[in-house]
Amino acid sequence: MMQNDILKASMLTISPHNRAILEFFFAGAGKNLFRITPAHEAETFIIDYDHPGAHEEWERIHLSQSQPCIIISIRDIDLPNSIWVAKPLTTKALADAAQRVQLLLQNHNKKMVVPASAAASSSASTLKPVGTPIPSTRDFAQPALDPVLTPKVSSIPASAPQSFLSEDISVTTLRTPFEAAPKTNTNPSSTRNPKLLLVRDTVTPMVEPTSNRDSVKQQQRWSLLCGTLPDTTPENLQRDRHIFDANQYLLGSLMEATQQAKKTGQVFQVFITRQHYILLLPQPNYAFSSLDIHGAEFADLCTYPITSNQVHIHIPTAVEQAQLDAYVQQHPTHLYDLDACLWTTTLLTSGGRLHQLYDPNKTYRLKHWPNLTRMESIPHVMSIAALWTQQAATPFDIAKQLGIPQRYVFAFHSASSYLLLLHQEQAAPTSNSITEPKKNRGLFSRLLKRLLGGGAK
Amino acid sequence: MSVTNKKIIFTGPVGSGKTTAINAISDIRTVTTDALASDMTQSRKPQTTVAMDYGLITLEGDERIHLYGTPGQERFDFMWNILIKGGIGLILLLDNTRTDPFQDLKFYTHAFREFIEQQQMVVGITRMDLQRRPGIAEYHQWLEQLGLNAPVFEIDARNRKDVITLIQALLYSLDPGVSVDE
Ligand SMILES: Nc1nc2c(ncn2[C@@H]2O[C@H](COP(=O)(O)OP(=O)(O)OP(=O)(O)O)[C@@H](O)[C@H]2O)c(=O)[nH]1
Ligand SMILES: [Mg+2]
Repeated sequence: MMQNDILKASMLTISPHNRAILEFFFAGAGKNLFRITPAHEAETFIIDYDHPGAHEEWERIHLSQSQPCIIISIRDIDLPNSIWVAKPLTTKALADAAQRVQLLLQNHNKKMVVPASAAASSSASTLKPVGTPIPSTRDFAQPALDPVLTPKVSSIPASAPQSFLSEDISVTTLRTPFEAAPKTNTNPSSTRNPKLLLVRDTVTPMVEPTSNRDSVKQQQRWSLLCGTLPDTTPENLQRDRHIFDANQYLLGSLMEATQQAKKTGQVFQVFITRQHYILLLPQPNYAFSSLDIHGAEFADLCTYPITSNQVHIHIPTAVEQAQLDAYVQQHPTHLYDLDACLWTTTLLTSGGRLHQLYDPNKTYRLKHWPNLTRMESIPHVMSIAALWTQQAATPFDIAKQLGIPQRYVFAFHSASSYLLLLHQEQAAPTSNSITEPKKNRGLFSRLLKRLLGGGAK
Repeated sequence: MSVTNKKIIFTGPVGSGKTTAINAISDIRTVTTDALASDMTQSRKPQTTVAMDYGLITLEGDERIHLYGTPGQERFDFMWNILIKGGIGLILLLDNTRTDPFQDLKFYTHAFREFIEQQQMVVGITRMDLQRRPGIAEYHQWLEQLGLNAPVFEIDARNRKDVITLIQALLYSLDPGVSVDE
C-alpha cells in the first residue's frame, strides 16, 4: 500500500485554478509526497471545502470509502477521518498532511486486526489542523496505545520541500514556456530623441518629455520650483540667502489654515487675493484652488512675500458651502490632493532654499516617501527620497553623495518638512557612501532609461 | 554574451490591478493565469505552466526583466517561494475599496516578510479614485505598526506612468545611486 511513502491522491471537488496550482506542486516540490492518481487507485482524496458541492462530495466519500480525506479550506474544518489543511496552503502543511494521512492509513490497517474496543477509540479520529506541531499522541489515539505505530517523522525531513523547490523547479523552468514569446523588435534607443535635456544637471523626470518644447517648459518649471541658486556651505547659508521664512509668504498662512482645518475637520476658505481662494477640504484631503496652481499667477503669489492683510481666512457658512460645492463640481480640474497642493506651494516658495526651522546641527531622515505619483516632480526626487530613507544625513551630505546641486535637495527638504515626512535626528550622520556602484546598477539604469524613454509602449 | 534575467514580483488581493499593471509595462501581452491553468489541467504537463501572470521587458543585449503576478484568488506559499527566487523586489498592490485594506497589507507583508527584508517592497494603492479613504498617511501608519518602511503611492494600475513610478521607486530604493545618465 505504501510505496516509498508517496501517497496516491485524487483531487475531487476543486476549482481548475487550485487544481492547477496543486498539480504544479505535486510535479515539483511535492513529488516525493504525493502522486496524483484516478479516484479508484487513491489512498486519499483532496477536497477543496470552499468549492461549491464539496460538502456533499465529502459526505459521499465518507459513507462509501474508507480512505482519509485531506480537506483544504480557509475555515477550521472538523470532520472524521479527515485532515484539515488551512489556506493559505504551505509546503510544510502539505508535507505534514501527507504524513498524517500515512498514519491514518497505518491505523486503519491495524484496526483491521485490533479488537473492536481499541478501534472504537480512534473511529472518530478527527485531527487538528496541520501546520501545528507534528502529531501529538492526543491526535493519534491508536499509536499511543501501540508503540509500534510511532509516527515515522524522519521520513519527511522538514527541509525537504525547500530543497526540492530549488532543485526541481528552477527559475529557468518557470521561464521556459515564455522563452519563445515574441520579442519586441522596437529598439528603444533608435526611437527616442537623442538628447532632450538641455541643462546638464537636471535629469530624471518622472517621464521624459516627448519633445524639445516640452523639455524647455519642464526646465523652466523646475527653475521655478527649485530655483537657480548655486551651492553653498552650512556656514554661509544665511549670508547666501539660502534660508526663507515661511511666515513672510502665502505658505505660512496656508499651513496655519491647513492645520486648523485638519484639526477641526472644517472647510476653510483661504483668500489668497481679492478674488482668488484656496478651499481646504480636510475630510477627503482635497484642496480646491480657483487659480491653477501650475500657472504663472499662482507661482508669483507664492514666490513674493505677502503684504499684511493680503491673505484672509474665512469659514464658509452652510449656504456658502453648498454654493462652493456646486462650483467645485463644475471645475474639477482645479481640485487637487491637499498634500500635492501644499507640496507645490512649498516648492514654489522655497525656490531651492531651506526653511527657517532648518537646524544645521541636526541630521534628518525621510520617515515616509512623498506620494510621488500625485505630486509635482522635481529633478532627482527619487534618488533623494531613497537615500534619505536609508540614512540620517544633512541636506549637504545628500547632495554631495548624489553628486547633485544642493537646490534640489533643499527644495525636497522644505517640501517634505511641511508634509511632516522628515524626521529630525540628533545622531551624527552615517557615513554610508553610495559612490560604490551596487551590483545591478548598470542593469537598473538601462531598465529606467527604457521605461522613462517610452520604448516599445 | 551571457543573458541576464531578473524578476519583479507583483502581488496583492483579487482585483487589485496586478494583471493590469504588468500589462502596462510589459513588452509582450501578459500571459494570463486562467488560460495557462486550464491548459495545464488538460495537458497534465505542469512544467509548462505557472498559474500566474507573466510579463517581460527585454533590454538591449538580451537582458530580461520578468514580471510575475501572484494569483490573487488563493494564496499558496510554495508558489510564492518559487516565484520570489531571483526576484529583485516586490510590488504590493492594494485595492482601496476592499473592506479591510489593513488586513490585506498585514497578510501580504507577513507572507513575503523575509523577501521584503532582504530585497525591497513598494506599495501601490489602487482605486483611490473610487474610494479616498483610507489615505496614504494611514498606510504609512500601518506599515510603521508592522515595523516596515516602504514607499507608498496612490496609483491607477491602468496608468502606465503610475506603474513606472512604482518600478522607479523600487530601483532607486535598491540603489539610490542609480542614474538614467549612465
Ligand atoms: N477605477 C479603477 N480601476 C482600476 C484601477 N486599477 C485597476 N483597475 C481595474 O480593476 C480591474 C481589476 O484589475 P486586474 O488587473 O484584473 O486585477 P488583478 O490584481 O490582476 O486581479 P486577480 O487576477 O483577480 O487577482 C481591471 O478592470 C482594472 O482596469 C484603479 O486605480 N481605479
Ligand atoms: Mg490578474
